[in-house]
Amino acid sequence: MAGMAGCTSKDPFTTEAKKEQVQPSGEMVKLLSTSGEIIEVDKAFLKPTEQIPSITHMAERMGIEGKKFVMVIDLSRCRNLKKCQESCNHAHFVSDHQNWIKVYPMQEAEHTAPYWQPTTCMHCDDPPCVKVCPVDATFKRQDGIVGIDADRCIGCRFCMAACPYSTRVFNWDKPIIPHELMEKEYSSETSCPPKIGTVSKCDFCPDMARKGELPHCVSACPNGVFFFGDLNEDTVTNGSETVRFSELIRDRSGYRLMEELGTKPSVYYLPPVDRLFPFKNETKTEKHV
Amino acid sequence: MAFFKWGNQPEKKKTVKFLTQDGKLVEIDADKLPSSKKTATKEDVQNWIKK
Repeated sequence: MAGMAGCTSKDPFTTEAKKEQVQPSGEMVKLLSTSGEIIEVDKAFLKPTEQIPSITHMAERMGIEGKKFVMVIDLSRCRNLKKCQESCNHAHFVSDHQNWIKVYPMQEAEHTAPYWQPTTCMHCDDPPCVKVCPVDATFKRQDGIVGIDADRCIGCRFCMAACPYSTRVFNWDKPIIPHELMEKEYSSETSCPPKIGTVSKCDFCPDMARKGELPHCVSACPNGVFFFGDLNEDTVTNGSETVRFSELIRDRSGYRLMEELGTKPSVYYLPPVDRLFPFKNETKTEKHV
Repeated sequence: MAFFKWGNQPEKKKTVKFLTQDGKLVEIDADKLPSSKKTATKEDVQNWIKK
């Protein structure tokens, strides 16, 4: 937990301060209180805060100004390793039967070539899930991300019924999470701590975007299947290659799923042509997609 | 048994949050706070962070 809060064991405040009987070091430090008072105390009495104040819930719902996040999934590179799914599940405490990222085996017809298709939330610009939510728990941000506020979610699952991509999952079980995390305040940017009886889904990792880092699935994929970036900057990257979004879509015939529905997804696909790997199931289990 | 479990739980100390001059948010047990305090001026607040 100390790591999550940005504190390490090397932090000068941590080691001594966490002991019950702290001996004064003699070194005094000045501190400013939230009510505008300055005090002087011994440095040995300082403890690092477990919970660094983050942005407000309102700011989380507003999103990042000037950004419009997009994802491009290159189907010609996917070999169903599911590293994306693994890292996503690990980062968001998702159990393996409720994956936010699903990798479907696809085949258009009997004699056509099969391929793997990873799916995430499409973060639609005209999201049906947002329209049907009766309690405003699911919302569209200015940076294009569709988020969920689990504190507001009543678990009615209207959004699951409305989503044509079936990307949402219902948290039937009590989440298995560290005790420290359980006590933390819910953040729609990390989707943590997950809550039983609510709906959850891929959140495009906005907390990582705020840090200038890529979503977990993008960094975890060894084949560079996922490109993530900003439509306003017209740039996407998979971590090793950075390309113009418009050129990538134009030159590689990019498309979106179920375009005819008018949902305007933020996730684009590159067709599985000139594939890098033959189609075969390389994962150990076939139980969950 | 339930009674003993409940009784053995460590008492959580009341803490107060403060900002250090190197920009770190820290907590101090309320019983460790000194009685003397100085009200910060506008200049104090504006020039608080010294890195």
